Amino acid sequence: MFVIALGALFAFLVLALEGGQLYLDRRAAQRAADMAALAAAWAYYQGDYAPASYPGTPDLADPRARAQQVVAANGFAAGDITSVDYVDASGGSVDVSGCPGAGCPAPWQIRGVRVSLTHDVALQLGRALGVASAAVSATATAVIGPSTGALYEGPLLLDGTALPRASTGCTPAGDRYPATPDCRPTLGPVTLFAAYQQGAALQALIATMPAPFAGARRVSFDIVHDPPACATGDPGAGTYSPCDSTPATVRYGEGTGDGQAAGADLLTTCPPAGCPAAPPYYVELGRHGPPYLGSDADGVAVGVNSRLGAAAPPAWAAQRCDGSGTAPLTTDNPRLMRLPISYAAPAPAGANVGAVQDNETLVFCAATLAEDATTGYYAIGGYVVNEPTRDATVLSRADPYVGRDVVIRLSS
Amino acid sequence: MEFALVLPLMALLLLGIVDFSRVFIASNTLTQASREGDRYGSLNWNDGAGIETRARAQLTTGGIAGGSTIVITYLDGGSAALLGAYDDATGGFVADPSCTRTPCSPIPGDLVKVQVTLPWRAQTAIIQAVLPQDLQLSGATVSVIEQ
Repeated sequence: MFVIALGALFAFLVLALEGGQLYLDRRAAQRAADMAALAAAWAYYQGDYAPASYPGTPDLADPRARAQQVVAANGFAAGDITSVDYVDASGGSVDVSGCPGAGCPAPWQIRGVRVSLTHDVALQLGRALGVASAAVSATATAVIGPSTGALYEGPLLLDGTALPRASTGCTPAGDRYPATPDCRPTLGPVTLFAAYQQGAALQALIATMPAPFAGARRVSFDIVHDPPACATGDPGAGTYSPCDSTPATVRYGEGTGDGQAAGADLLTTCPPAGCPAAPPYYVELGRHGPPYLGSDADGVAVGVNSRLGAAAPPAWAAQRCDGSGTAPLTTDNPRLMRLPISYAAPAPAGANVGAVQDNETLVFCAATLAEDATTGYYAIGGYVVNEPTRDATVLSRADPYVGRDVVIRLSS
Repeated sequence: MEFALVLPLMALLLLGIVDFSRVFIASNTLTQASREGDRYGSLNWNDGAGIETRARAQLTTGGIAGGSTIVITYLDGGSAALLGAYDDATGGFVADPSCTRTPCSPIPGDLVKVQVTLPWRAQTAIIQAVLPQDLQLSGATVSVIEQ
């Protein structure tokens, strides 16, 4: 009798102690998974979109490494991670089994990261009952979108729906945002940085280039545009409209998968001899497309949302805003998008364009920049800058805006 | 007769279950508090007071009114080497002497660690006799500084 009671009591003890411990471990696993997912999602957007080995595809190495690091830092083993999956904005899985390679999804299709981990907890008392270990598992998904934070808008993607909105109720109706409520983007000093970083998908930086590039910053961008079709005859005059009169998924970027020759960028087309002696240097972002259904007066030449065609560009050389380079802006390629970047002061060593500093001056060749006649907004690289604001002040410009230089100074 | 034999043992076990359960609850609360503080810290690494406020709010919710200690440290995002800690006295970041990086102050991508500790005593005398007196419960969370 005594022995039976003892056995029963011991079983209760096991249940209470190890059961409790398992629940605790379960919570700890969830916490580690939460933090890993947040870190991985952050890393995905923070880092370069595309690995050098295969431009134009999402870089999945950093998020995984981050997840492993954070899981390990939170008391679990990196090997406890059973999966690092990628999800779209609604949390649905995105198949990345073809990565890296042609089967990869476009970088913007990934909006978050899902981390699952399983940890085997060794049982001390349970061993006596024949249960040596139990597994606790947890799954966490982090999706990054525009936040309401004043300083950090979060990753923004080029699908036209992720622009930060000043008001609620700004749901795109068809291919545009409604006129009311005020759906103008809320932009702060960091937002332009965000526009650079995410909208233009900053790929690379070389801070220590040989002369004459010392101090200049070479960047290449990878823009993926997957626009919906415009309504008939609609050139997309809504400014915010991401629609395209000739809808097609078009990838822009350096290297494979976009129709642009690899290395067709500043460094290779402008070798150290014969280069422009001084900044600004420019990086071309788009290509010469077919005519679009509209005119400049429509105010629709909105960065990446302007007409993107399949024709090869006449040249991919670095350009100056004044057109004195090898492929000057002309009236026959008004849609040639380029984001020339010029810094009034030398960039700090080690800085990159993704970390555009306050009070730096950016020069945009205005082929990418247009004012919407209705709203008076400017668009840069697919993102709209409210002008004038304290955050981004237009210092100089020429009329008409399209095809002209605009200098914008970021205030602190 | 047999019951009399079992009774002390049963009491020990039951009271132990009660006290251990309280340990579990407290541990979970500490962990949750560190998580809340750490999540805030990943977005506001330099606001150590804010981190502690959020952690303590979670502790209060969990029924731990006082006695806890919150330590905020920062680790290099690559090597996980200690960079420094938040100093309550100065209300700011203080670099650790071992930090060799320049600068030591955290940048996005580094790690922030929030550790919450609580001295623990069992409530029942019989368990107090068994458990060490200076038991320290602790919960820690590490996350990436995002901005």
